[in-house]
Amino acid sequence: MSEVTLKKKVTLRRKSDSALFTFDEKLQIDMKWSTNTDLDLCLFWKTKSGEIGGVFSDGFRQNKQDLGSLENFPFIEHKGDELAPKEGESQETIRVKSIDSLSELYVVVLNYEKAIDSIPSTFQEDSGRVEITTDKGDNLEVLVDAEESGHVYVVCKIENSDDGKKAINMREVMTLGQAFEKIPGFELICN
Amino acid sequence: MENVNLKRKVTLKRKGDSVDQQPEKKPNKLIWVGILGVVAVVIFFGINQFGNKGGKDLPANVQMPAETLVQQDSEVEPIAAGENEQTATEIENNEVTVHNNVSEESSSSEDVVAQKTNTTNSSNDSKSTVHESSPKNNTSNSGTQSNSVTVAGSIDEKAIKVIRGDFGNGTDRKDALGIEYDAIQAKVNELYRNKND
Repeated sequence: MSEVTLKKKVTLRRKSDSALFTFDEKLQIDMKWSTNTDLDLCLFWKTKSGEIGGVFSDGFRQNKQDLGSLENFPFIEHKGDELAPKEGESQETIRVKSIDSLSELYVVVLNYEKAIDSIPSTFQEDSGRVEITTDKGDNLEVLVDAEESGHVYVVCKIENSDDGKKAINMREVMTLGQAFEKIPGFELICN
Repeated sequence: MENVNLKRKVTLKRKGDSVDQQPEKKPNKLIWVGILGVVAVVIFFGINQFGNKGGKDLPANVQMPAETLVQQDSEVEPIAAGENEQTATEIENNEVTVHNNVSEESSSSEDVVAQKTNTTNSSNDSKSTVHESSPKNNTSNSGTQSNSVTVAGSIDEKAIKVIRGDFGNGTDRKDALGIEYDAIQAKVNELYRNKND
């Protein structure tokens, strides 16, 4: 009987840390937080043909299609919006079945509650963590705990190229305006 | 001097209720469910009505198609010889009694046949009688006939009456015709064959 060895969990702590990962049909992104605020997990992308898109809470545009689908394009599905935890942790989940047609993806955490009321905040105050797991056993963890002030936290960027799929720790805090300009697809949730 | 424009302040879309939490259009579903229910009830009663038309619940004044009569007759088993002695005795006696005023109903096809029966029987030295026992026939229109009419006569006459439905169907007819049932039924079948030929 062959020996089974579990893959080691990789935690990306430093900016620009990166890790290669592989998956066949299942990549799951979980955001967990316990602070008393409404964080939103979003995934934005640019396709290989240059189009932008994203999956995020269907509350922004009152459109259920914003949650995506695993059966049709984009083959990515947001499991639904969660509010601030009343007890313990809240969790939002995005499942990815395929990113073959996408060139780059951005895993973004939004401090919605503070952003909508324009209350200055840091993710050190309203912290959380994002876990990326694959059906191949890869397990990446990125902490959302930056000290800089801002309402948008770009957790990581996933690059899909001929060299493979790579997760790069971005750890970059942005204002809404910066995210609007730099993150393809972020404009979809802006006025 | 070059114009300087401030960048538009970016604000988030305000999240509303999740789509799942919005009230669903249940009234439309309820309407459709109601319509389907009504259609189902209509179909149910329609099937029941159709079934009654082909069954035993036919009114006495409705004549079944001849083909149906023949088909039903073939399904009836012959009666034992002594099973209906009273009916057999009546037939043997060939007693004929007319209780109603025949002239009142002379325009009906029933009476035409009955009169023919009288004529035929008198020529054969046998007494034929049209016996209308149902009180309904005293007041009914000429176009309606009752199955309670009992006519004694020749095999041919009885076969005609069988076709007309005077003796009813199935067991009722078998009881009414008694020991002559087989002979009369054979005549009925013969008439149908001739008619179809």
